[in-house]
Amino acid sequence: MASRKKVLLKVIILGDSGVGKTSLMNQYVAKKFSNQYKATIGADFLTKEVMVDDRLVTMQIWDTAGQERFQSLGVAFYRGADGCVLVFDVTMPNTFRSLDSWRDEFLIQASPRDPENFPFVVIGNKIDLENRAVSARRAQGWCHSKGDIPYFETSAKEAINVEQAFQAVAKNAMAQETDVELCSEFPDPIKLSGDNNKPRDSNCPC
Amino acid sequence: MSYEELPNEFDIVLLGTGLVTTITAAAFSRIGLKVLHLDRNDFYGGPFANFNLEAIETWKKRNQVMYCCGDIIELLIKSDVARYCEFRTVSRVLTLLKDKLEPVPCSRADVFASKIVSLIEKRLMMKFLQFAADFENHPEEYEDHKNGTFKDFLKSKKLTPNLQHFVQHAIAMVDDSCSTEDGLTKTKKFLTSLGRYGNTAFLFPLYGSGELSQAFSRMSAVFGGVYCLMETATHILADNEANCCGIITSKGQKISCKYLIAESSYLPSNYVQRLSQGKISRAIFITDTSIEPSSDEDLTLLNFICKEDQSRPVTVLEIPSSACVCPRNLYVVYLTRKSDSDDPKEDLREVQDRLLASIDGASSDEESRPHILWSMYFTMEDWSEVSMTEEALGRVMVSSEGGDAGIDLDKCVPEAKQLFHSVCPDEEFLPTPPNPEDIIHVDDTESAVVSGAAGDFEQGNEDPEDSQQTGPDSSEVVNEESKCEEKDSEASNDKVEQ
Repeated sequence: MASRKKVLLKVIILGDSGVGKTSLMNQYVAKKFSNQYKATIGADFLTKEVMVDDRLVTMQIWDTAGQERFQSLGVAFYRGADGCVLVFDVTMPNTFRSLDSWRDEFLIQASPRDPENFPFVVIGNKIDLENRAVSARRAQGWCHSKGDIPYFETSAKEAINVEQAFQAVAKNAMAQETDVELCSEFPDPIKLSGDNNKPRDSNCPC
Repeated sequence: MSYEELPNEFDIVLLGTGLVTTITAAAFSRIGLKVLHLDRNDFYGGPFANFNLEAIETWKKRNQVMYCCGDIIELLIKSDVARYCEFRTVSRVLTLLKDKLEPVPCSRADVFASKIVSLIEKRLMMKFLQFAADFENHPEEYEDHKNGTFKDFLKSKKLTPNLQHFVQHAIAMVDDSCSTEDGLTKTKKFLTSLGRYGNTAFLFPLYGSGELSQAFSRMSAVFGGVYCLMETATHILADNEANCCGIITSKGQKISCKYLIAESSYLPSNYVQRLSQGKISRAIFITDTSIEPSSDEDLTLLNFICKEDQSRPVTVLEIPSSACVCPRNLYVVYLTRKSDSDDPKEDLREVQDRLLASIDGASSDEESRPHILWSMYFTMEDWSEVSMTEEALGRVMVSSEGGDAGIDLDKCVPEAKQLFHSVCPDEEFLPTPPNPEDIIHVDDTESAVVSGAAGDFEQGNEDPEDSQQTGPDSSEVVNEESKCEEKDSEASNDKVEQ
C-alpha cells in the first residue's frame, strides 16, 4: 500500500429532509448546534482531519445542500463517494422507512465497485427528544439485514455519539482503501483553483 | 422520501437545467433571490447531459471542451463552482495532413520537436505565433487584410501550405470564410490557453460536460435554490399588465414569481424565435482503440476537414476511459458537424471511411483502425441562439439550450450573465463565495448567508404597482388568475430529431 500518501475520503450524508444531516455535520466538524430548523442553506461540504489507525485522513463531508427535498440530487453528488452516512430521525418512523430507498438510490447513482461491502453507517438521530417512535432494535434489525451496517444512535444537539459514528465511517472507508489505489494509474485529475492558474504572460506564446 | 409541496412564492422560476440556465440560477441564488428550478426530466443538463449506455438509448449525449483561459473556466474559478468538478486536459490536438493523422505543433516545444515541419517552417511558425499572441498591438501587420479572410491573410504571411493548414484548421479552427480578425482572435485564445494546465489549450470535465450544470445547480442549492426534477410548468400566469406573475406546475401547484426564465422547449412555440440557423449532425461511437494509438491515454481533439465541403469541418473528440466516460480500454468518440441534410450518417461518412475500420470486416490496411463497437447517429436543430417574440408575456425570458456546432462552452457565460443583469443590473455576477466553514454556522438568522440585497432587484424595472409583493396578499394572486392567459407551455415539437 502506498501508505504515506495523503488520503482524502469523500463521505456523503443522506436521509430525508429535517432528520438533522446538517446539524450532525456541524456538530462533528465544528462542535456547534443550532436549534432552529431551516432548510439547508449554505451547507456545502466541510472537511475534518481524523486519525484512523495512525494515519492522518482528510474527511470531506458532503451535505445534500437541500437537494434531497424534492428528490433532485444529481448523479454528480454521488460520484467518487468513499463512504455514506444514512440518517433518520428516531421520532419520525417515515424517515426510517425511507432508508431503503436512500440506500438503493446511493447504490444506483454512485455504483460502487463492491456494493455488498460498501462502507455505510446508519445514524438514528434526535435521541434527546422524548417522543421516540423507532426502537433501537428495529433499526438494528434493518442494519443487520443489509449486511451488518454499523448503527449509531446520536443526538447532534447533545453531541452524543456523533464523533463515534463519523469515526466508524472513516475507518470502514479506509479499510476499502486498497481498492481505491487501483484508480491511481490514471493521471491525477486537474482541480481548478485560485493559485496555479494565472494566465501566462500573453506576450510569450510558446 | 415522501412528497412535499413546493413553497408557493419565488423571485425567479427557471425551467430546464442546461448549462446557461443553471449558471443563471446560481447567480440569482448567490445574491439571495429565491430561486425555483424545475426540469421535466429525471436528470440534470438537458442537451448537455451525459448518460450511461442504457440511458443513452433514450437520449443523446453532448460533449464539449473548454479553453483553459476561456470564459467558462474563469467563471468556474471565480465563483468557486470548480470545487465540485475535476478535469482532464485534452492532451493532444491532431490534424489530418495528407491522409495521415499528425499532432499539431502549437507550443514552442512542439514546434521544435515536430518532425513534420522543416527548419525553415519552424522559424516561420514561431514568428507567426509570436505575432498572433499580441496581434492587437501590431495592426500594421494585418491592416491590408482587415476586410479579407483569415485564409488569404495566412497566405500573404508566406506561410507554407502545411503551416497554413495547422494555423487555420488546427489552432484557430475556423473555416475558409472566417475574417482575419476573428481568425487572429481565435488563434490568440488558443495560444493564451496553452500552458495554463500543462501543454494543452483545452480542458474536459471528468465524466463529461454534463457535470458542469450539476455543479452550478449545487452552487445554487447551497445558496437556497430549490431544485425539483421531473416537474415542469404547464401554465404561465399573467397579471393585468401582461407580465408573467407565476406558473402552475405539472403537479397542479400554483407558484408565484417575478420572472420566468425557461429554455425554449419549455415555452409556448409562439414565444420563441430561433436566430441560429441550421442543423447539426452528430454521432457517438464506442471503439476498441484510439484513432492514433499512443503510449499515453490521450484525450484527443481533431478538426477534420472534409474533402467535399471544406466549410463544414467535423469536430472529432476522442475520450479515453481515464476521463471516466467509458470502461477500460475503450474509447468514446464524438463527431459533430454543421449539417444541411437530415442524414447524419451520410454527413459523417467521410470520417468513418478515413479513420475507422469499416463495419463489414475490411481490407488489410484498415485492420489497425478502431472498430466501432456501438454507434448512434442523430440530427439536432441548432437552438443556441434564441430570442423572445412580441407575443410573449413580459418578464419571461428564454435561455438557450446550447447545441451549436462549436467545440467549446464559452458562449454560455455571456448569455447567462446577460440574463442575470437584465433582472439585476447592479449586482455582481457570481462573486466568489466565502469558505464553507465561514457560511455554515448561522445560529439565529440567515442573514449571514445573503450578501446581496434582494430588495434592490426590482429597481428601475417596471412600475411598482404590478410588482407582486411577497407576503400575506396571496388573495391578489387569486384575483389575477381569473384574468390570466393560460398558455400551454409544453412545446409540442421536440427539437431533437431522430
